[in-house]
Amino acid sequence: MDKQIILKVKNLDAHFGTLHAVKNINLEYQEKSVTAIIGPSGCGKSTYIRCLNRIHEELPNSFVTGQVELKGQDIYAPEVDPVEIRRNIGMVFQKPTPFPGMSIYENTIIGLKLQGGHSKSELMDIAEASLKKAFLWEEVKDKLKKEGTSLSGGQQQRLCIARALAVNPPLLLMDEPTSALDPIATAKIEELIDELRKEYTVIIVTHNMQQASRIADYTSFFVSGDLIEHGKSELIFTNPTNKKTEDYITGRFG
Amino acid sequence: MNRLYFRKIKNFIFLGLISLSSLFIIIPLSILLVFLISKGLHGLTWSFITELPKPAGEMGGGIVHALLGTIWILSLASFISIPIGILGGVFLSEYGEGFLANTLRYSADLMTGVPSIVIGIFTYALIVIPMKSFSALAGAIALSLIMLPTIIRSTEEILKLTPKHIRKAALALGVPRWKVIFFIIVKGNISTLFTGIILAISRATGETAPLLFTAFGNMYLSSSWKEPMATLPVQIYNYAISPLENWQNQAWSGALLLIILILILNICARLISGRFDVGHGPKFIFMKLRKKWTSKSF
Amino acid sequence: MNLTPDFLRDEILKMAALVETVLNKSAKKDVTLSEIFELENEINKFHSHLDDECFKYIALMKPSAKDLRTAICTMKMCAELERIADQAVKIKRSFRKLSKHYPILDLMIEDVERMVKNSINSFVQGDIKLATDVLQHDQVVNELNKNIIQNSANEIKNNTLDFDEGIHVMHLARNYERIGDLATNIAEDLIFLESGQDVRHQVPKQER
Repeated sequence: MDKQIILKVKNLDAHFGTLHAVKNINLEYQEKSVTAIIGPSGCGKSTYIRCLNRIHEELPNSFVTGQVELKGQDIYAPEVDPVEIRRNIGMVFQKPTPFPGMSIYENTIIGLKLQGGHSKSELMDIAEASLKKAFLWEEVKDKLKKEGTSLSGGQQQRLCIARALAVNPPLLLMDEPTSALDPIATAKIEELIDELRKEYTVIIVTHNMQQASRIADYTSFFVSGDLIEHGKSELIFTNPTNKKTEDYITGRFG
Repeated sequence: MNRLYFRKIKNFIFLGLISLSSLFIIIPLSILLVFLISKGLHGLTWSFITELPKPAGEMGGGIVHALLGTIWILSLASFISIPIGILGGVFLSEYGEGFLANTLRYSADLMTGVPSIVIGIFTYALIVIPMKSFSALAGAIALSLIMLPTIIRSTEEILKLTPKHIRKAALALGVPRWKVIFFIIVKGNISTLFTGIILAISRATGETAPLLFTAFGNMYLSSSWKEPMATLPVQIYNYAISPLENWQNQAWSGALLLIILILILNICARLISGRFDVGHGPKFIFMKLRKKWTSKSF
Repeated sequence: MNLTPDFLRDEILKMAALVETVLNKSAKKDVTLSEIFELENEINKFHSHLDDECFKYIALMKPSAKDLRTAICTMKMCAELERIADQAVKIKRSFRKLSKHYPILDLMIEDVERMVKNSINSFVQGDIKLATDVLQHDQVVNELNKNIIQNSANEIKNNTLDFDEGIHVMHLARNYERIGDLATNIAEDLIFLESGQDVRHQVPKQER
């Protein structure tokens, strides 16, 4: 099964004020796979993932050097518009963020609607397909006009996933998507990610190692902005090569 | 046992004091309304609302010119101050750090404190003198100067209630910044913003002092913005200080009409904000603010 | 990810089927040693593969309760099945050296093959009663082993049995007795898996 490399990160450095948050990362990501990023708090995982869709630079006093090639095109090239790039990359955050004042239906298609160029029936179809992919359709199909914020936490998070999927990005970034959810909601979302792996490339930041070992094909281990180790999850969790990785996984540090 | 008893007594006393203080608010308001109604209700007839005033000394007549004038000048003032106010509020909430933003914020706060008569005199000097005439336009400008800082600050506070991560999530969707602001943040809060605006309008409805120097007043129906125009507050003032009993009674009815107008505006505000199910309306805003405050204390 | 208790279960059942086959064939005259080797090879591959899968399952999925017992018992049963296959090879080697058929072994062969079948079935059905029956039957097989060895020793002393033949008969008895022990282990593993109870070393050893 020859999978193509969909994302290449080359010599990526990110700064946040005087803090050198991400240090010289070189990584490649296969299509249709799930990669988890683990590491102690403040190790730069969230900063790193925000460099992949150029959200990091929205913060004041931040800058990024290096290259990130999505399907061969460097997203940091000077002529590239960050807004265009973000349409090809979906992102889900730790806190579920349904947009206020909008119904469930509007929330799902808002990304598409603001891009323009879709008819009403197309939007309806895409909304249904995205909600089905996010395992949410059955629960909301009778109340699409209700406020997005009227859903439970787990449902809101799946709504955010549906919203990201609606623009059909090949790459999905998830920053601790289940940290704010209860175990049942978490399990649903892990099941969802397992299903998403068949069509999308997912990079997920998690502070929960068990989650990484359960759902990820590959795992990266970061400490203080450095990439300590990266490899197949089954190797990282059974026989890591770096002692720091082993210490972290067995709970002796971090 | 003893302590429990004392605590209960203290609770009871405290509850009593709070209830008493709320009576201090309710009682004067009720007296005011009762007074107004008793003095003005019998004069509040259909002809009063639809007719022009009769010459001095004659019985009857109405204040339709002042009513329409108030509506006309308020509309013009809203037309000026709402777009500017919302843009200013958006600027403060979305790009709110830095010298310009702080200056704007400080200026708006100062302006809310400026006495309305000073605003009237200012507008007089700025508009009336060059135009060599009192005008509805001057009145509208004066009122918009009163409404503007309120709209700016309330817009800012309402938009700030939308948490920062909503903006991040919207940006991450690949939506350009300006679309995030207008189609997601502003659109999502539109009914609360509207409520804020209506409250600003209803405050301006009752302003008398600035209109004295600008719109001045008119005994006839005016439709030109270059000419003086009658407004309810000013007309009430003129009638009230006149020696004619007919006019004094009409002042009471006019005051009652003014109160009713403001009441209608407030009810509209509530209805509009309540229209959007969960998530809007002053009650919800209050609950959100309370949550914000209590979470800060953790 | 394919790592589930059901997957492990399916794999071990495939391995068990192979082991039953190789055991059965090892007693048949028309089956060659190389055929037995082929089967044993496949079983060894299953052994490494299934061990690895169980290990990965425990490392990545962090199972608890019955899932954890399933993983651990599958690893143990895997090892025991592989040893049964080893014994089958030894049985074939010994049978090849015999010049004739010794009916005294028949009962033991039948009993032991039944024990293996029942221990595997008890796993398939989750049947603790069947597993307990296997545990108790081990006594019988031990007795049979003792009898065959004593009998053969006597016949050798009386010169009614050739020495070399006699040694191989005794080896076969020992091999089958060993298989009986392994089947007992599988039954004990199953009881642990289903009930969480450790029933090992509960049958008192007898004086010889």
